[in-house]
Amino acid sequence: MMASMAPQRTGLDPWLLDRYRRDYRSLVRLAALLVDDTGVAEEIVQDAFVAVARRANIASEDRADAYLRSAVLNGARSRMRRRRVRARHLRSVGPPPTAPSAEAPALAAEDSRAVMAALATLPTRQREVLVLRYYAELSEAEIAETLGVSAGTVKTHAHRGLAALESRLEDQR
Amino acid sequence: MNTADRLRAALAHRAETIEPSPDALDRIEETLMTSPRFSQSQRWILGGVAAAVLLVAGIVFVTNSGGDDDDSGVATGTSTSTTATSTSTSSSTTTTEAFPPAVDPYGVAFPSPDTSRRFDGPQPAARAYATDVLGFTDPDLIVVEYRQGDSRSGEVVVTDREDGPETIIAVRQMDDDHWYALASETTDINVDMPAAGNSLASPFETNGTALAFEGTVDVVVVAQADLAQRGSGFVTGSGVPPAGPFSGSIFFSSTADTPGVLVYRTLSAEDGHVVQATSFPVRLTDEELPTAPDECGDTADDDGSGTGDGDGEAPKVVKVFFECTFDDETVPLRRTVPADEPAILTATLAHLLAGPTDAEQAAGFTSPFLGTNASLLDVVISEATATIDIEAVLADDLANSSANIVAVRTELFRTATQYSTVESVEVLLGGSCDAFATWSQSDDCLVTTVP
Repeated sequence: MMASMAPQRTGLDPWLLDRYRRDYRSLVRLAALLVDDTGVAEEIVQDAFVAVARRANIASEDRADAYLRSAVLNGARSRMRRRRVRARHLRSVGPPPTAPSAEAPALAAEDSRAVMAALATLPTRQREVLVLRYYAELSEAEIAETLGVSAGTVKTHAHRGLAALESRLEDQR
Repeated sequence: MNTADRLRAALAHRAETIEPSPDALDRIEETLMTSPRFSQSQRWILGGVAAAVLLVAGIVFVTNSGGDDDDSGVATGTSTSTTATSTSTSSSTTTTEAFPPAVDPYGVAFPSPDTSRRFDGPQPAARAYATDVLGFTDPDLIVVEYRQGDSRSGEVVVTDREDGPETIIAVRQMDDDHWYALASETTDINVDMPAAGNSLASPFETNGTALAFEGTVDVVVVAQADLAQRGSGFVTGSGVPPAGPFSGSIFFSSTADTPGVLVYRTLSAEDGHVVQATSFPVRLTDEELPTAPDECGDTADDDGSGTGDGDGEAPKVVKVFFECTFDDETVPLRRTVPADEPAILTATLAHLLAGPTDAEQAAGFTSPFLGTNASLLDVVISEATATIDIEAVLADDLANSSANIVAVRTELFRTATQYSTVESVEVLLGGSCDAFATWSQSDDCLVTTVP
C-alpha cells in the first residue's frame, strides 16, 4: 500500500505528502504508459514532485494537481525526445554489437499487446491525449489544461488518434 | 468491443503491471535536500562513477609509470583521485595509445577513429565533444544527466547553465569498445537539410527551423580529424517563439573526401558563449559546384586554390556569378579568399571584376567586366545594403547596351547577396550614384532585385 511505504517525513509539505500517497502510483503508471519504462516513469514523477515542492507559488492543491500532471507529461515528452535522438542516430551506425536489454512488457492478453503496440506508433500528441482520456479518464477540459492546448485541439487529436489506432489494428488482422 | 473500449482495457491491463518502487519518497526527499541541479539518476551515476574512479585511482597510482606525455586530458592517478569527489566530468579514463581504427569515421562525429584519442565512458566522450567540437565553454558546461539506452548506447544531456536549454548528445560504444559521440540535438534547432551522413560540397544549401536570440544560428563546419574549422556562416530563424524557418548557403574548404561535423549553435546574447547545439557527421568533399550548367560546367573551375592546408588557416570559398554564353544564365563559380580576410565582400567583388579565368572563358563563361579597366574603389555595407563604388572608367569601357546593363546589375547583385547581411546593392561610379544611374538608364543606382 502507498501509505505503508511512505513514513512521516518533514521534506514535503503535508498537503503534498497527501498528494504523494494518493497519486504517486497512478502518476507513475500514467508516465509508464507514455514512455514504456517503469524506472524512467518513476524518475519523471519524482522530478515532478520535487518541482512542485520547490515552487512556492504552487500552494494551491487544485493547481498542484494540474501542475503535477503537466510536469509528468512534459517529463515523458522530454524522455521520448531523447530516446528518439538516440534511436535516430543509432540507425545510421547499424545494430549494437550486443543485444539491447529491452524491457519486454508482460502483457497477458494478446489483444492488449496489440493495442499497446498500435498505440506506440501514434504521434506523441495523439498518444498523450488518448492515454489521458482513456487511462487517466480526464475530461477534454482537463486534458487541454494539462497539455496547454485548446479543448478543440484535444477533441481533434482524440478523434484522429482513435481513428488511427483503429486503422492500425485493422491492418494487423 | 469498440476501439475505445479496447484501448481502455489495454491501458488498464498494462497499468496494473506497473508497480512503483517502495523507496520513492526517500528519493524525492533526498533530491530536495541536495543539489537542485542534478536529477536523482544523475547523482546515482555520479556516485557510482566517483566510487569507481577512486578504485581506479588507487590502481593507477600503483601501476602508473609516470611516463605518459599525452596532451588530451588523460586522467592521471593524482588528478583522478582529486576530481572524483567533485564531478563525473573529470573522471575520464581516456587513453591515447595508438591502435588501428576499427570504426567507420563517417558513422561517428567524435572522436575521429583516425586519431589515437579514445574515451572509456559516455560522459567523458560527450563532454569532450561538447567542448572541443560544439564549442561549449568548459568551466560553464554542465553535464546534467546520462540516460542509458541499451548496454552500449545512451544520451548525455548537457547545458550551459542552470536551467539552460538542453543539448542531447547521442553516444555509443563502438566495436573497439570505446565511446563515441554520434550527434547532438536540441529543441530549438532542427535541421531539415542536410542530414547526417550527407556528402557536402561547398557551398551547400541548408534549411530547417530555429528559435534563437535575434534568430541567429551560428553554423560551423568542422573537420573530424583535426577539429579545425573548415567553414562557417550563419542562418536566421526566429527570435521569438515558435521556431521559424531558416535557409542559407554555407561555405567551407576541403582538400578531398574527408569526415566532418556540421554544427548549428546558438550563442549567448551576453558574452557569446555557446548555449545549445545541434550537430551531426557529414562527408566533406571538394566536388565542383553543382549549379553550373552542363555546357559550362565541365571545365568551369578556378585555379585549384580552393583547398585547405589542414592547420585551421584554410581559405574561405566564395561564389562569383558570371554569364554562361550557352544559355545566358548567371551561374556561380568558386573563388577563395584568405581565412583572415576581414573584408570578405570586397575580396569577393575583386574576384568578380577580374572576370572568368582563361579556362573558364574557354568553357563558355563570360562577364561584362572582362576587358574593362574598372577596379573596385570602396565597399560599404549599411542596413543590409552594400554600396559598391567602381571606377568611373567602367562607363567609358563598357557600352551601356541592355545586355551589359542587365549583366552588370545581376552579377553584382547576386555576388553580393550571397551573404545574408546583404539584401540589396547600390552601385556608384567614381563615387557617384547618378553616374551609374545614367549609365544604366535607370532612375536610381539601387538594385533590389534582378531578372
